[in-house]
Amino acid sequence: MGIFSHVSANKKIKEIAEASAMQLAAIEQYKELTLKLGALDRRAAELVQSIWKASETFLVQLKAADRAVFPFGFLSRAFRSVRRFCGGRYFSESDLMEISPLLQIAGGLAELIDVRIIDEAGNLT
Amino acid sequence: MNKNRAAMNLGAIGKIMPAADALSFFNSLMEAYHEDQNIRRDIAKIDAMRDVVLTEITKRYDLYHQVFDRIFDERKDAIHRHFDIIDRGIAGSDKDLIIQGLQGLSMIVSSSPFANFQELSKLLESGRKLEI
Repeated sequence: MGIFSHVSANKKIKEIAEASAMQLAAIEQYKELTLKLGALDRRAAELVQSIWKASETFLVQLKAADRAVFPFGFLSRAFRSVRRFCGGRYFSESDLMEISPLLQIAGGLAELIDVRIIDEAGNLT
Repeated sequence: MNKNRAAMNLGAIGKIMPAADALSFFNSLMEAYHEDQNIRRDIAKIDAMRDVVLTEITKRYDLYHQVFDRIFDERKDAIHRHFDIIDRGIAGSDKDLIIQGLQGLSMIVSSSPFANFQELSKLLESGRKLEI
């Protein structure tokens, strides 16, 4: 009788130890996930802010370039169309000088958009 | 003195049940008591071990949080410095400055804040002082 109760108690203690180990593993997993989620949140926030800033910059520069290339709106466009019709280029060298930085800005924006924050395996990058 | 008292008690019990049964009952009771003590001690040991490991886990993750906070705070500062460069470029219509700011921004955001995490973990495990 005593031996049986001793064996039973040992079994229960082993179960308690196992449950305790599982509890610790779950706590560690929770903490790891919380850490990863926090990091992911901040990484996403910095990326969103940067994309927002770059797109805002692009729009500002696009408007500025538009104003510089077509200072008289419709008339400027018409003038360029006539020039092309007569065998010239639609955009002049100075127009291209205004436009080329826009391409670089757009390239920078595209780079930011392409940044991956999670890889295929779900790991933070 | 105690022996006499025990004998007297045994005599009194003997009136209710046979003395041999009373002794057997007493032995079982003592065995159960010791078993209970052993169980309590084992459970206390498990609890103590759990508390130690839990404290270690909590400290480790608190440190990870602090390190990440520092890393992201530094990145935030650097990002805002580049935002300022871009703003100055826009205000002064300086396209080179804008592009420079955007390139710097792109470089920071593209770099992973977790790139040195393995190294960081090793440093943490070795218990060496961290300098960020």
